[in-house]
Amino acid sequence: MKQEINRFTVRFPSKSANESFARSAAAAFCAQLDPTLDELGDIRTAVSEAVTNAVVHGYRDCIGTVVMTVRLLEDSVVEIKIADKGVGIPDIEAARQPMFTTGGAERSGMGFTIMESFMDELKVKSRPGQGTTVTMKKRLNTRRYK
Amino acid sequence: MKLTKERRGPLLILRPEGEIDHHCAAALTQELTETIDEETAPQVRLDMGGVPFMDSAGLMVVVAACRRAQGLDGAFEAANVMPQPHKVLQAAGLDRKIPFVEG
Repeated sequence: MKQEINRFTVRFPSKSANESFARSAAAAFCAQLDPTLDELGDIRTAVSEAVTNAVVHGYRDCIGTVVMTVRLLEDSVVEIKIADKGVGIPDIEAARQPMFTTGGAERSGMGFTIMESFMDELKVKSRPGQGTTVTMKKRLNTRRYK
Repeated sequence: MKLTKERRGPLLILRPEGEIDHHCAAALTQELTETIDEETAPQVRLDMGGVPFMDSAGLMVVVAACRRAQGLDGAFEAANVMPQPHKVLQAAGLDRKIPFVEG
């Protein structure tokens, strides 16, 4: 278990305008580890995907609360947890397949694939009717907190 | 999100400006496809030099513009794609399906 150096938690309504806020907040907090622009871009992208999933799928018929926790761990590891108490995912394995979507023609179905390829680790916990928690980790090539 | 257009003979250049995510994707897609329909240009260039960020919602914007241009028998290309959007397009394999140009 890696030691925690810093953390923040933010709660916001599942409004699409908050997708931009969430990715910017996560990136701003991770900036204290002195990441590269490329790494910050990866974090922003993965957060945007996870929050969009909560907005579009988790709370598809209502506005609920999304909770994002960003932890900076030793060895320059960032852990980001994004949780909703929405409808949940009945089949996580299927949902993680590229091009899988229940969101209609305007959704690419690439959200989980992008989270997986832009971060080092992706865990999805979900129960129908109880919500979904996505936990992602990425080790940064940084000079600080080694 | 702002969209500007420029016509250079057969070439229609469309320039979105800002970050593309689910919040703005539907409106941008509509504006892009309507402009492509109105202009009926033989060649459409999506100039992404003003797009520093996009997530997977941006993929569908690019795909919709490409399909609309090709559906009108036009050619489609993406220009000046910045590193982060490029990585997202690459993750979806679109860098192999859409010509990328500079300029």
